[in-house]
Amino acid sequence: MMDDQLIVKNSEGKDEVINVIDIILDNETGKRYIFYTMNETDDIYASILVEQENNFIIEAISNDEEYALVEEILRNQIVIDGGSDE
Amino acid sequence: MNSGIQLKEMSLAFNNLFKSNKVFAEVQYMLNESKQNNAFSKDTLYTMRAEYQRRINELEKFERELDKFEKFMPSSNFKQLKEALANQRGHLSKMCVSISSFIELENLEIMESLISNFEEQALIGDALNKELSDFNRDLGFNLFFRAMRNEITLVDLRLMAAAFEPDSELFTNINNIISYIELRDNEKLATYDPTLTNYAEDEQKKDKKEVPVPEVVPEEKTDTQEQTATVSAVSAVQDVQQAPKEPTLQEKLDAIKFKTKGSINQDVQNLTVEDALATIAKDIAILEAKEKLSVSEKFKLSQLKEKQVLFQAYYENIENQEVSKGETKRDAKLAKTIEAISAKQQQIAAAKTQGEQYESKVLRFLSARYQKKLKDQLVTLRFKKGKLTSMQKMSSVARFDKQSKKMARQARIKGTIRQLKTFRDSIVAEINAMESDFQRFSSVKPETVERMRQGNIVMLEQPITLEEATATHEMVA
Repeated sequence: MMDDQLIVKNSEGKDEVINVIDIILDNETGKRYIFYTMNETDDIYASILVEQENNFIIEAISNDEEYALVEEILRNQIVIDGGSDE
Repeated sequence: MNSGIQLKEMSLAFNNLFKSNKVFAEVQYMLNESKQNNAFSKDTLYTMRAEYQRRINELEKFERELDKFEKFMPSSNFKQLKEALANQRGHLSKMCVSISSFIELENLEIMESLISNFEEQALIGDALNKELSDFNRDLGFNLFFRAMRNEITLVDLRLMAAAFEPDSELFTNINNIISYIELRDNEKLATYDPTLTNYAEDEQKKDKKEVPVPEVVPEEKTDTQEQTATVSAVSAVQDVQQAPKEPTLQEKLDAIKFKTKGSINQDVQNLTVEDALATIAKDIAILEAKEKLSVSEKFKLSQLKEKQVLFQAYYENIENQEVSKGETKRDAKLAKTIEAISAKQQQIAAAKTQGEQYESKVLRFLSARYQKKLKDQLVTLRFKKGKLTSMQKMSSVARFDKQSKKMARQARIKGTIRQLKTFRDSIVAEINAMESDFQRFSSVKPETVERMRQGNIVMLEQPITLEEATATHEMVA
């Protein structure tokens, strides 16, 4: 398995492999946002990552402001970092 | 060689010398003209040396020829003439040596000596000419005596005269003699003493009849009867001839010569006219001193008087001619000089007029030329001025253009700067914003992923892609 690949149990209890693009910490709120791809496709997913005693929960973003924030992060942060990674 | 031939040769020699004199005088004149700045040029010196050498050769030749006539033509001036000839020759030789020295050494002292000798040469030439003139005069007398004695004929004299240059003294002298001999036919002279006519007639008869005429009238026959008889006899002859012919002067002179043979000094070869006149006067005086004269003495006296008159006439004629010739020459020379001065004055006046005309023409030409030049310059200046004005205008326009362009550029630059500033500000703002974002957000991927790998990961619901989320969000908005 590659360094960025993780196995995740989905809502149906099945394991799924995700490719982690980046994990961003919002220093103001303390929230973590995970950007990833699934099923070897180019579709990017963004979710809220919550850490609870060695367990990690990937929650869906439901707040519009957070979406805007995620877009902003994605445009300024991830893309730049992703560019540098390549 | 007879006297006539000798005299002809001598005349020719003199004639050659006269020709040489003329050439030499021209050469001297030319050399004198060439002498400028008190010096001679080298070319002139070469010419001078050649001409002097030629003259020396001619003088030597003449001196040799003159020696041949020394005995024939003794003269009081003979020695002086030879000395004058030798003097000029010697002086010219000395000058030739000096010229050669100067050409070789180019010493200024030699040049000074040359100039001094050149001027002295003129004096030496004058002295020689005087000697020649005296010699010519004596030669003229000698020719006269010989002509009188029929040793040379009129034909000889005319041949001699023809051989001479017309402007030479000998030519004049010989022509004087010819004229005088021709004058012997003049009636006035012939009728000087009627008694001479008888002797002339006797001579004529003697020639015609070839009868020897008694050479000497016996001096011892002094009685009147004999005289009368002689005269009567002559008269009788005249009567017989019916038409007595007037004797010529030549015949009279021949008669004198015949009758006076041996009675006076016949060695006229060495006599001048003055000597002859003195001798005749002396003889006349002796005869006139006698109280009684025989017929022959009376006749001799009349002959002597006749001869005295003839000689005196010849002498005066020569003197008069010489004086007249001198005066005529002087007058002619003066007239020539006046004429030359007048011609020169006319030339000068003409030259002056020509000069003035030329000057005027030149001034006009120069004036026209300068006017044209000034006009050209004016045109050029106007053109330059126009060009300068045009350039000035162009420069102003250019300056204006340049300024306006500069201003435009500056404006553009300012605009650009403003834009850039705006852009910079926006960039800065963006950067600041980004920096702010960066400060707010930070990547925690490596460590988080590591921990996530160690733990369990649960996905609570099926995620949606960002595009789906954005679309939903926009739809909601």
